[in-house]
Amino acid sequence: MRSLSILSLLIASFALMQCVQHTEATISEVTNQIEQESVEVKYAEGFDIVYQEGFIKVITQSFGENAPFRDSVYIMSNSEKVFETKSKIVNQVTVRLACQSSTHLSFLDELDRLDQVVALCGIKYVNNAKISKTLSKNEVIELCMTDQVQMENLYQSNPDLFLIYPFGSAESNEFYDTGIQTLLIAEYLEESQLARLEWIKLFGVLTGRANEANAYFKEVEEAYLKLKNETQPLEKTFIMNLPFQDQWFTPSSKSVGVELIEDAGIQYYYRNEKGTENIVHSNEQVWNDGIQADYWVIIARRPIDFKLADLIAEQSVYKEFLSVQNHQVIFCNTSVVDYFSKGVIEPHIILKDLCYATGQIESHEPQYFFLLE
Amino acid sequence: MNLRSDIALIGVIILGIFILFWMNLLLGDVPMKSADVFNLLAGGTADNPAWSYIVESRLNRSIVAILAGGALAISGLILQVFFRNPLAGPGVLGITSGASLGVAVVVLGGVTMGSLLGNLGIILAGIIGAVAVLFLLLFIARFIRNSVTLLVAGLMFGYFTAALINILFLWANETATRKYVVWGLGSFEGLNQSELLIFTTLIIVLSLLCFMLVKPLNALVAGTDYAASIGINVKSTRLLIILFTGVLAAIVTVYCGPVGFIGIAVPQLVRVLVKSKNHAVILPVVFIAGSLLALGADFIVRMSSNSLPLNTVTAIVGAPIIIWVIVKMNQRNVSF
Amino acid sequence: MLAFKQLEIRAGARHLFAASSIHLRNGIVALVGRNGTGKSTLLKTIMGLHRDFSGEILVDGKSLDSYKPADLAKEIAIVYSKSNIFGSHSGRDVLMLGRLPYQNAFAKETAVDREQVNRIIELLQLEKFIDQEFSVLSDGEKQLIMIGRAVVQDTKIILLDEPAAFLDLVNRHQLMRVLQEIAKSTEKLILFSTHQMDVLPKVCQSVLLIDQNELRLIEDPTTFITTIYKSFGMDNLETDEV
Repeated sequence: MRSLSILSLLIASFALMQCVQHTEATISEVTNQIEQESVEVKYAEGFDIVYQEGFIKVITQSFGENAPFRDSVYIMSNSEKVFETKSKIVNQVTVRLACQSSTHLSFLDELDRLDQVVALCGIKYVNNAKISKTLSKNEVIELCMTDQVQMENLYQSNPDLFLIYPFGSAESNEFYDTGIQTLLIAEYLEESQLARLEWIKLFGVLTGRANEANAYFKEVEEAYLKLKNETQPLEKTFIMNLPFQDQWFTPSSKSVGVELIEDAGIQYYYRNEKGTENIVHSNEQVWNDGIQADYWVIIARRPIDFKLADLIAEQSVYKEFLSVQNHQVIFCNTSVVDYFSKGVIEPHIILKDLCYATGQIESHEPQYFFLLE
Repeated sequence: MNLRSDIALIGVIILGIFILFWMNLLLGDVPMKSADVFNLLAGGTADNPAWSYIVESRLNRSIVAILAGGALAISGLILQVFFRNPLAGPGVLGITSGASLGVAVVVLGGVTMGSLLGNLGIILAGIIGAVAVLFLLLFIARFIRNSVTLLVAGLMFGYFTAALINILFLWANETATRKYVVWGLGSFEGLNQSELLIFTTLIIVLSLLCFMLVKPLNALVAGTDYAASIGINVKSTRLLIILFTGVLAAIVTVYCGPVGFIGIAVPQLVRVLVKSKNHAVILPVVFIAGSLLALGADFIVRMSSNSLPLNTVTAIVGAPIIIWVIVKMNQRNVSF
Repeated sequence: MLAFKQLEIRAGARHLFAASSIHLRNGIVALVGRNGTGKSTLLKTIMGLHRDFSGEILVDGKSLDSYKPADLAKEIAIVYSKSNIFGSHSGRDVLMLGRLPYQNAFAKETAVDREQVNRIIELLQLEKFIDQEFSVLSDGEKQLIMIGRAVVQDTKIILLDEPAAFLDLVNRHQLMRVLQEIAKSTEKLILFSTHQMDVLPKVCQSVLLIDQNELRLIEDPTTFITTIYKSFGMDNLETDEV
């Protein structure tokens, strides 16, 4: 494995040297890139793409009240361009990616570029059979046996670019000294489902699949907006999720997940609570409130044949909930579907599931959410 | 004189328990009037059907706090006297860690707390872990005469089991891991009726059984040699002490998580405050004082909408008590 | 009161000593022997805590084996050379520990218990420091209290394992005075191990000597010192007798 990566490194550097010495050799590549559609950012606030002569600059940044950070990487197409010494440069044709989040995989999978992933944090948490299979076929290296990134494994995988989360202090990049180029990715900070989805364009640019990314985004965007515009406000409320022991981590009303459900025409019970983080409620608070909510949307890992009766068995007060009594518990079983990763790129399907569950669509085959029986 | 001051102490503790118990029933994120609470406790109904569940949950959790706090405290008392060290306790000696390891093996192995079988499995695993650590400690105690060194050995067990648990994490799935982590923060909530019944029965029976140890404990303050000379069967006493303290600490740990500090701080404090040297008095006082501290800690947790973990609160309340007692003991030149 | 018959005591593989037939009556008896000969082991054996022996030990005419620990505690009390109390017990609390064998399962103090404790305080003149905390007392005071505790236990036999080991000259002297006081006013057998030779003729009725793997009883006070010195191979020192 290591010798293989060294070999590929040699090949890569050889290719680079070729570029430097023979200007003609890069022409085909340049044209290749120019042929790509350029990407326009419509919803997302966390990244930007700047096109210039001979290179593309990909910028990621914080926005709003989030901890500030700014990062960028140059995708090179003209080798004569002189960059500042500290700039990070990748070649989009050969780019080998390491990912700190499995969410990124769904973007790459959709663009048919999963093969460029050489290392990943938390392979065992990948919940999508097809992606898992590809990862194991490609012998993708596990980076995080524990919470920490294992540096040796990172070196072994030798990525051109390591996509990382800006957790903690983003400015002091812990990987800076390693010589491995990183790019901060914070798609989860986006405040709408479409903005989050739009990050597929960034992955498209990185992997030379901008056309496909643009097309996919446009298709989903249209489907999503069409559905959203067709829904009528139902004047009905919903609560969300399940407690962990005595704490109920209810998503903030600004969260993408809540927004998506609200797009189906129902209202979040805690929509007036402020903040962008999860809000911790005590059991008794949610019991007191939840009893009145019309719907109960649950995203949780449960056995495959989880039933309404199993839910009541978890806590007997649930049988008093209006949503339980009326069989209006909308459930997404994460042990069955890949809500947290695949769901990000299929908001139109999730929205359709929700519209179907709330009785606004006649016929539909639910994929993520369905009514608990 | 002594008797009167002890009776006053008991009175104050019981009064405190009553007040906190009532406040725990009355106050919370969902505001209720005392009339409502009384009505619901009497089996009445409220406009919001959730309220009867809420009051029931507040009641259950208060009962769990009272029993768990008491159990940890007497377990700590017995261990302190047995090891003749005021810093001994189920947490320090690694007994809770042993129980945690047992729980981790079962929980991270994917068994859920809900089912009766899973429940019994976890209890059994916790008890085995706790008692195993105690036996191991006793074995080591043969070679270590110095009881401070023994405490260090106990702490090492703690680190060792924590490391084993971390290794177990490698094979566990995300849900089981999270479940274990949340359990590790400690909480008196979340016991359903059948669990509460098992918990209450076990704790009460075991706590009463601890009264078998009254005479041995009275004698053990002078050390095992003297205890043997005043008619105490040291061997069987040692076995009973391991079983009672280990099982008590294990049951609390299984149901409420590894709750820290109550097991050390309460017996220390009570042994300073109580005038009687008879464990027939000290045991129950330590129990109710443990109940009071646990109830108080849980009240703070509840007032924070459960956002403060129980172990954070017990540490904030317990650690200063421990330091205060150590300082006080050193001032009075009491040998450890 | 205390008798050994064909006693042979071992410690693991080691044979410590044997005694053919010894009978001890009330009074003060010293147990003498060099380091490691088995003095402490003999005391432990009499306490029922060392089981590695053959032959018979009779306590008050009955075999040691027939006593349960709780019953033996009413026959034999012991004082070790050093004592430590875990807790803020007063001297009086420590004395009260001697009453434990007579108390019920909840260790309830009776009027008899208190009366007995007060009587011993008076007998041994412990009033001055009896209500102070045990742990702050001097070694001499602590040892007096531990002896008082043994007397409170109301046994026919009191064993003392090198009671004077950590005491200064004055305290040693006082300890002997107290032992004599106890022997005079009660009918007890007081058996104490010691390395102190000078006091033996004045204080003891007889001496138990462990030497060359044999436990012997010396009954004539005038021959105590010479016999001991001779058996230790130190005959030339007999003139040093005080």
